Amino acid sequence: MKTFEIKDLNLWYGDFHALKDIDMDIRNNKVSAFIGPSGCGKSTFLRVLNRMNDLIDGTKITGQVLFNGQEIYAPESDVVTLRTKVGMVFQKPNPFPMSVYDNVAYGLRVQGIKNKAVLNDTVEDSLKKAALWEEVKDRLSDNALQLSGGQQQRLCIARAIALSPEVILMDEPTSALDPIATGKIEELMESLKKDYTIAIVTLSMQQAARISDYTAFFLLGDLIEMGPTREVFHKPNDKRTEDYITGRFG
Amino acid sequence: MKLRANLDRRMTKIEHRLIKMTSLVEQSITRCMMSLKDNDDRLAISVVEDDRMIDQLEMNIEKNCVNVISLQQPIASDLREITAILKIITDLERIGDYSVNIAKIQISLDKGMGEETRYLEAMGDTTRVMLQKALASFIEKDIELAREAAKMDQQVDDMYEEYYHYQLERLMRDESSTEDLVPLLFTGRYLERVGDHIVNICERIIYMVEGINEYY
Repeated sequence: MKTFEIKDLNLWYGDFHALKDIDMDIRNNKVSAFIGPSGCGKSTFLRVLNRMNDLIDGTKITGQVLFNGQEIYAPESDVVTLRTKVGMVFQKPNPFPMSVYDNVAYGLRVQGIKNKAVLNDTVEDSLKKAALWEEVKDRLSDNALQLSGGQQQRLCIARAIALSPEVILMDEPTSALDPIATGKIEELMESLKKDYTIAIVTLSMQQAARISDYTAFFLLGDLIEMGPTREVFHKPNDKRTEDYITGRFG
Repeated sequence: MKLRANLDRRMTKIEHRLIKMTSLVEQSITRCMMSLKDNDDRLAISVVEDDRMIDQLEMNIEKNCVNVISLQQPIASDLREITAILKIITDLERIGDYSVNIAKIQISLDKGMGEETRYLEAMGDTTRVMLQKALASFIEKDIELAREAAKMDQQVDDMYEEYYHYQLERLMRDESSTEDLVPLLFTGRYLERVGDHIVNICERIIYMVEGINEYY
């Protein structure tokens, strides 16, 4: 099953052609990793999936981006609904300057949910799924900024989960974390893929190899190849992929 | 700045040692067969003694491969090469042991080799050519050469089969010569096994270059 089908996607920032003729399927309940050197378009591509590039002036997109068969760039497509279905976690943990509880409940309240019992249940459930509940259940009213970096990042994942998304996009989610916190996030991804489709941008090839089911390699705006991670890291089809992952570029 | 200079340096070092180990093993086969042919115990003893060098190289290469894996985290072609080399050295070491077995048989024989010379020499020559081709295929990353070498094992098997029946008949005809005939029958068996190990090596080289498993 394909959560996303991307066909002949091109994206320009002004005159800069950032993504070129991208065709890709993203399979549900799998982790897809996007790798490539800085500036290759992988984060831009990730942002295409929940229309985050709409916020950048001068962006032009052509081609098809189908989410569950629906074109997300169609005029009638609702970007707010899309972003509840396709959540995002960023490189630097960005909890809101409010309590742990309020961070997770925030999106639900924006949606108009006020029922305390529903909020309590969702907050607890989301924090459990984000493997954070045990660490914060007695400090739900503490300011989220008091949590460690790794906890803050899992809180951001809980915040995304609270909206019952189908997809979680992660843009270098562990690059600001120490190895232990990184390990926890990686473990978490493994458990989350039962319920969600995950797409992650990472600069760490070892991370892509460890956690993903599929790996896509981008270079200068082109998707060079995408395949099962085992194959990409064992015997890539394209010499450019081989050169990149074995460090022969430079 | 050149990326992966450290990895390249380590890989080259390992490759050179593997080439050296293969050459030593090839010499070991050549010399054990020569000792049999010339009834030369001194040469046979040197084969037994020099096997230590092969064993040491195996351990050294293994240590270097493990270091590369732990310190450089090789992937794709690099990882295939390292894992292939780790397997190849086990086969090479075993071939060295078979040469030692053959050399020890020479030392134990009352008389030198008799009529079986033509069988055993031919088997020895064929395995040597197989190993040379395997080594060349590793250096050149030439899988056709590896396939060629692997296919030659059929010749070794056929020769062994023929030799086995020949020797069996002799055994049945003349029970008095059992003492020498049985070790010489074993020699054929060892050479047949050498051929099998070279096939393993060829399969590893094909895997290393192409990432596919082919079995011969």
